[in-house]
Amino acid sequence: MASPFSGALQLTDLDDFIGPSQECIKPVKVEKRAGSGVAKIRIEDDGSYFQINQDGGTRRLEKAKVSLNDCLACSGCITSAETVLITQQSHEELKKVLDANKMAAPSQQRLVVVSVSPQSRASLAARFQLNPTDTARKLTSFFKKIGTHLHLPGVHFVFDTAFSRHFSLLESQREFVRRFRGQADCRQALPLLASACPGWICYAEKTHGSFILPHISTARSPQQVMGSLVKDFFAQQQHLTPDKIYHVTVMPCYDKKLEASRPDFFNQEHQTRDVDCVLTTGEVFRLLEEEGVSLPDLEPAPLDSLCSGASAEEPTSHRGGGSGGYLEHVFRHAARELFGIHVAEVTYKPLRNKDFQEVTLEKEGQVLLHFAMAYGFRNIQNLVQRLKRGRCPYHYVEVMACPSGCLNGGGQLQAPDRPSRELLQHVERLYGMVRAEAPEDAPGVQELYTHWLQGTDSECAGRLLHTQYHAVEKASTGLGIRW
Amino acid sequence: MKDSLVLLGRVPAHPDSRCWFLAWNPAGTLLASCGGDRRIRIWGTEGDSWICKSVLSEGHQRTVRKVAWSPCGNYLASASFDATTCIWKKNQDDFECVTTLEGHENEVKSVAWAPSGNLLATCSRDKSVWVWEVDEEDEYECVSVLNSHTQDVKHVVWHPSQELLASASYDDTVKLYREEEDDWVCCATLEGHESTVWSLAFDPSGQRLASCSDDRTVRIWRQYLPGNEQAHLHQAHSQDVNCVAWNPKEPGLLASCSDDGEVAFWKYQRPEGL
Repeated sequence: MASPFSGALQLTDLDDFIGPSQECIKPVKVEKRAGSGVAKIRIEDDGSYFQINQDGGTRRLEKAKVSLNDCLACSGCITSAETVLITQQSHEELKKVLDANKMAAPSQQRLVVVSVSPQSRASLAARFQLNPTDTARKLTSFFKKIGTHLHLPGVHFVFDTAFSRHFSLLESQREFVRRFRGQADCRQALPLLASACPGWICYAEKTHGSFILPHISTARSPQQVMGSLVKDFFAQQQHLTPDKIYHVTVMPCYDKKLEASRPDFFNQEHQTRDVDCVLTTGEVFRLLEEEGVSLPDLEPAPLDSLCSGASAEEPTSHRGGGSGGYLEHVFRHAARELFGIHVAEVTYKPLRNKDFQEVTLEKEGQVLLHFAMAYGFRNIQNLVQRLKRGRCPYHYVEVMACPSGCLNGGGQLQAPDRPSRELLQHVERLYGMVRAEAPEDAPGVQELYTHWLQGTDSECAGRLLHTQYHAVEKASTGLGIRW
Repeated sequence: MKDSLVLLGRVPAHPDSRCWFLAWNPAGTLLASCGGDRRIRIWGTEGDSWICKSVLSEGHQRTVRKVAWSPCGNYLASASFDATTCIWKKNQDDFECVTTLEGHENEVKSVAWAPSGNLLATCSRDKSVWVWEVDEEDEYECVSVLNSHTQDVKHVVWHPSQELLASASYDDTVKLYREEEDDWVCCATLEGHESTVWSLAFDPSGQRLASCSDDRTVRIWRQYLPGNEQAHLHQAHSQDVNCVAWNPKEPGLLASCSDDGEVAFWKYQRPEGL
C-alpha cells in the first residue's frame, strides 16, 4: 500500500527485510533485579505470562507495549504499524465520539470542537466548486449537523486555524529578531528554520538530531497553537477541564496526525491531548459521503470565532503562499525591526527548481537579509548538507516536506479526471482569494496576549505557544541484514 | 585451435574479506577494486605484473560495494554499505576524497555516472534512487529523490548517450527515469522478471537494455516509441483479441484468437534490408 505520509517522513522509516508484524526491535525497558539463576515462564490460558521464581512464587509479567510514538521514533521496522495506529485517528473515530456523547450522561459528555485549516478548506472548495466563504459556512453547518437526525448535537463549535496561525507567525517573527540580534553570542542562532511542518520535524529529529535541532524555531504550528487555544483558553471560557473537550482538526496531510500525538502536546495533568484527532481533507470528504451529504446543498451557517468580540463574516488568511507565509512574515517584520525598511512586495527568486526560492534584502549593495524557502525532500537534503558543511548562506528558511507546500499535502483531495497540476493551481487560486490579515492587526490576538497569556514574553506564552524537539538515537541494529 | 584463457597474475586485493566489484578506467590503464575491508585499491601494470598503485582508505566505515569511474577518468565514485558515496579525485597516482554524498537511509548498492559526467545516480536498500548534479566547483547537489521502487534497489545504470536512467530492484522490476520540467520522474516500468533483478546493461547503441535476475533469466528490452509500431492490423478480429502467439519454429508465423471464437493465422514479414 502506498504510504500516505510525506516523502521526508517515508524515507526515514524504511526497511524491506523486516516485514510487518515481525521482529519489532523496540528495546523494552526491563526492571532488572539481582537474582540468582534462571526463572521459568508459564503461559496462562488467557495468554498472560507469569514468571515462576525459584522459590515457587509467581509474578505476572508486563506485556511489552509499543506505543504510536515508540514506533515513530524507531527506525527498525516497516511502517504498516504506523498505518494501523494512524487509523485510530480517523473519521470513524470522530463518529464514535459523537455517538458516545449521545449515550453518555450529561456530566460525561464532551464538548466537540473542530478546527479547519485554510488549506483543507481550499481543497474542498475546489472539489465542490464553491468559494472559500461558502465552503467555510457550509462546513460549519455540516459538522454541527452530524447525527442530528438522532436529535442530539453533533459538533459544537467549528473554528479556523488561520486564527491560531496569527500566533505562530508572531512568535516566529519575534524569535527571528531575537536570534538575529544575539548572533554574536550564539553560533547556532542562525539560520533559523521554520517549525510548522511535522514531516520536516520528524525527519530532522531522526536523521540529523542534535546537530540541526538547535536551528529549528520553537514556535508551535498553527495546529498546536489551536490545541493550546481550545484546551486552555476556550476550556476556561466554557468552564470545562481540558479533558472534557474533544478537539478535532482538519488538515491537508497525514503527518499532522503524528504531530498531534507527540508527548510534548499531551497534557499530563488532565491526561488529554491538545489535539485529540486529526482528519485529513480526504477523510472529511469520506465523512460527507458516508453521511450522504452534498456540501453545496447545505444552508450556510454563521462562522464561530474564538474571540467573542469579532464575529467573522468571512474567513481570513495570510499573505505569503499556501504554507502559512512564514518566510514572508518573518522577512517583512525583520526588515522593519532590524533595519527600519518597509517591504511592500516580497520578490522571490527561483533557484535550481520551483520549490527552492530565495529572497534578499539589500541596501547600497549590501545584503542585509538572505532568506529562502525549501520545499520537498531533495531541497531539504541540500539545505541540511550545506548547513553541515557550514556553507548555508541563509538567515531563515521556510522548510516544508511537500513539493509545492501544504496545498499539495498528501491528505488533500485528488481529482482523477483532472491533471494534478491544474487542480493544484485551482486550489492555490481559491486559497489566495481569502482576505489576508496582518497578525499584528487581527482582532482578538492582542487581547489574548494580554488576558490569556499575561504578556508577549511571559512564561505562559513560552509554555503554550512554543515547544521542544528531541533527537532520536538510531538503534544500531545488525538484525535482519541479508546480503 | 581452441580458445584459451591464460592467467597473467593474481593479487591479494582485499585480504581476509570479500572483493565485491571491479571497474576499468575509461583509458583501460587502471583497475579499481573494492571490498569488505572498506578499502578501494587501484591496480596498474608495471612491466609484466599488476601492482597496487594506490589504496583509498579512510573513506568508508563499512564495505565498499561498487566503484565507478567518471567518463573523463579523473574521478572515482564509491558506494558503500555505510550509506554514503565518496567521490575521489585523481591526482597523478594519488586519490583524494573531495566529497561525501550523504542522505541515503542505509546501504548504498550502486553508483553510476551519466555520460555527460555532470550527473551521478545512486541507489540504496532504502528503496530510493537519487540523482546528483555536479557543478564546476566540484560541488554535488541532490537533484531528485525517486521513490518508485517498493523494495531494495540493487543497481543503477545510465543510457550511453541520453540522460535516461535505469534501476533494478528486489521488487522484480526495472524502472526508467528521465527529467521532466524541473524534476525527475519514472517514465517506464519493465515487468516480467519473477524475482530480484540484480543488474542491467545498455548495449553500446542504447537501443537495447539487458537485465539479469534471480529468476535465472536474462531479458533484453527494447524501447517502442509512439508511432514506431512494426506493423498494425486493424480489425484483426471482430471482437477482443485475447491472445497472440509466435510459432516457436517457423519465423513470422503468428496465431491470434478472439472473443469472436475464431483463431487467425498470420505471416509476418519484415521489409528487406531491416
